Amino acid sequence: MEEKLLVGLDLCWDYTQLTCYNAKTGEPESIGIRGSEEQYLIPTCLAVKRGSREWVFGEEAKRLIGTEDAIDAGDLLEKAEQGTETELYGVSFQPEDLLERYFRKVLLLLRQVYPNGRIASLVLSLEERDRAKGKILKERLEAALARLGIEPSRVQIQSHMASFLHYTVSQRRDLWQNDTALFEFGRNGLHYVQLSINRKEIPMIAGLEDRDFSAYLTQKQVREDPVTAGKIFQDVTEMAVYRKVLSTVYVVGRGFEGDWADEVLISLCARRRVFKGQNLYAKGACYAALHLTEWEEERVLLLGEDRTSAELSMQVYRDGGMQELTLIRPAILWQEAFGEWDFILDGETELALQIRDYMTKKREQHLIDLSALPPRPPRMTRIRMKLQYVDLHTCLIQVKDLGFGELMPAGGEGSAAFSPAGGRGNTAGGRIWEMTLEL
Amino acid sequence: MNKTEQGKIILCTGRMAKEGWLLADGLKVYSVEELCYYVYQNIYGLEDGFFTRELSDWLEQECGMPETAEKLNWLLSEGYGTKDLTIALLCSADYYTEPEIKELLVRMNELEQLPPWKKRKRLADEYLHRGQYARAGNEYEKILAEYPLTEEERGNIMHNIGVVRMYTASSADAAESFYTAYKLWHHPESMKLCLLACHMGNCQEEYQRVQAEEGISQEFIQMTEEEWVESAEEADSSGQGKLLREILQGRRAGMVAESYEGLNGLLEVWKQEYRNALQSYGAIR
Repeated sequence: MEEKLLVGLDLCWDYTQLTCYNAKTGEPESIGIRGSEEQYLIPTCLAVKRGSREWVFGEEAKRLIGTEDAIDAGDLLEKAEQGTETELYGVSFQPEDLLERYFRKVLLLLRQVYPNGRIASLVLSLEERDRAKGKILKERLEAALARLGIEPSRVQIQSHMASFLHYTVSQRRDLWQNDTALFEFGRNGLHYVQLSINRKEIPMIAGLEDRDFSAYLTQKQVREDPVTAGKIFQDVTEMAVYRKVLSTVYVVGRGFEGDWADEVLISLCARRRVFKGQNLYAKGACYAALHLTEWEEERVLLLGEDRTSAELSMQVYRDGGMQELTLIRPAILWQEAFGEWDFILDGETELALQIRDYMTKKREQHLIDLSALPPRPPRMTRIRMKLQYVDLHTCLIQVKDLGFGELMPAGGEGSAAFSPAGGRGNTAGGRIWEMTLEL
Repeated sequence: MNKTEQGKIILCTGRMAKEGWLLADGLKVYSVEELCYYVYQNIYGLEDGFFTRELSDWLEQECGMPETAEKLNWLLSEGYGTKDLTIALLCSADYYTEPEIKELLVRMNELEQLPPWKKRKRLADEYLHRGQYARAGNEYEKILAEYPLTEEERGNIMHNIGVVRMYTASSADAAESFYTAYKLWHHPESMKLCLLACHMGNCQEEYQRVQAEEGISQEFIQMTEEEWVESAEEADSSGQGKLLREILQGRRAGMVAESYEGLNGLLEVWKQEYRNALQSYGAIR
């Protein structure tokens, strides 16, 4: 019988981790390459063996890269962000081609454990390294997965912080009774993140506070003088958690490998729990995959710097009845806040956009007047609505008249001059309404 | 299409196709909503081979609707007919409401019970009501030629041919068709339209001959005359009637160039109305 798999994938520039929800234990379990030493940490590497042209990944690729035996495919995520083509054995590969091959190899590991499994939901967790390029990267990752038959409707790409949130709220309540903290020591330096969750709200509202301590301590210092590094870390933790009421502290990142920080972490254990590990984001992604299928609506929203606080929705007719359609969800990075929808107007000449701000608790309605549309019978006008945040507080809304195919073409009706309120008109093909919504 | 009491915004299903689906009459549709509209409006003319695996492929590949494609393919493989396929298609989108789909189902069930000639007449009537006069006339002629009908049935069809001729030929031709229809089924509406067509075509001789041959009562003639006068007054007092009078007055006053310009404009409007006419007068279903 086919098993529905809920999969988390933590995709970092150096390592990848794969997790899958185990319904029997009720927890995500890590899946790695059997027999390897660091079995759950898969180097994010892809290479082609010379001669046989066999693709290899992970530990094997890492071992072969730099030797005469294989050609390195390069930094997969960097290339996906930049759109860089790669030439290997005289053949040109797009970033999606390489990602597709890498994902195929990684996801095949699931087959060892779940030979009859089908991925029902896959959540990719990414480092928040370069948000400006996040959208391009996301598109390429989705395209690569779609080539493997995992279409975007089954995929969610989220930040490490979103994974941290999903991990936290999936733990016992007493572990997040008060605030939760995270020390991360990785490629991006040493960071302290504090997660506060207001459980009185429905949905619960979560906020993040991020402090960068990279200037105090580097991985190089740890390697050269671990004793001094321990002392510096002691100072950092005191600064970070001073007067903070924390239930749990998580410690993640390869910078914490070894025992140089253990004494400090033991001292942190007073009145709070401390956990150290490498798979928090991968497991958080897996919990997010579970929540995607279990939660009918969001139960917790992660707000904070760069995240939208408003939900944009509209009453529409679908599945045989009137329903609220969420056009843009709240609590997403504004750079990724985008939505595109097609509607048929059935005797309507305005769109009533509902705006619910979870930060200010305000609810508003914004009307988009479409009365300048050419007169047509009901249900003979299709419009395309695009919503795109241009900054954290501004959403650009574009509505295009598409007519109704050849039955009712959009252009050439020659109606009266059009001047949408707060916008501008464009009559190439169908008319376009553009307006900005201040949120 | 029925106008719903309250306006609504319908969420579209699937996506718009880059490559449209070519229909039998040369029209292309680009979305499942357009396809639903076409099917719903052309239920009498929908041929058995309308639903094909190619159409399912188009829905899957171009409109992004694999589940609908799978459902249609299953119905096709199991030998289900056009009715079931139509309902499956309409249910796959929100373009038509449940009551509308149920109403269509009733119509399709009725259609199944009709004899072949009557099914074709429904199609021809549909063409007529949509102003597709040539197609309607062609279909009516074929029905007359291909089926052994009773005189009453032939009269009904000939009446509708009269309506087609009112739009596509001369009033005299139309009058002749209405008269033939009347002789076949003795329906007073056919006689009335025959007399009105004679009036319209100024065929006084024919007008008198028909009355005499059929022994039409004075009361009926009086009623038809009144209707003619009423219609003529209505046409005269309409915006276009007034405009025509002004143009003709201007011409008499020597504004020849302006009056020709006005007449050309008016003719253009009438031509357009003729082309766009969606309703036809007097057809009997």
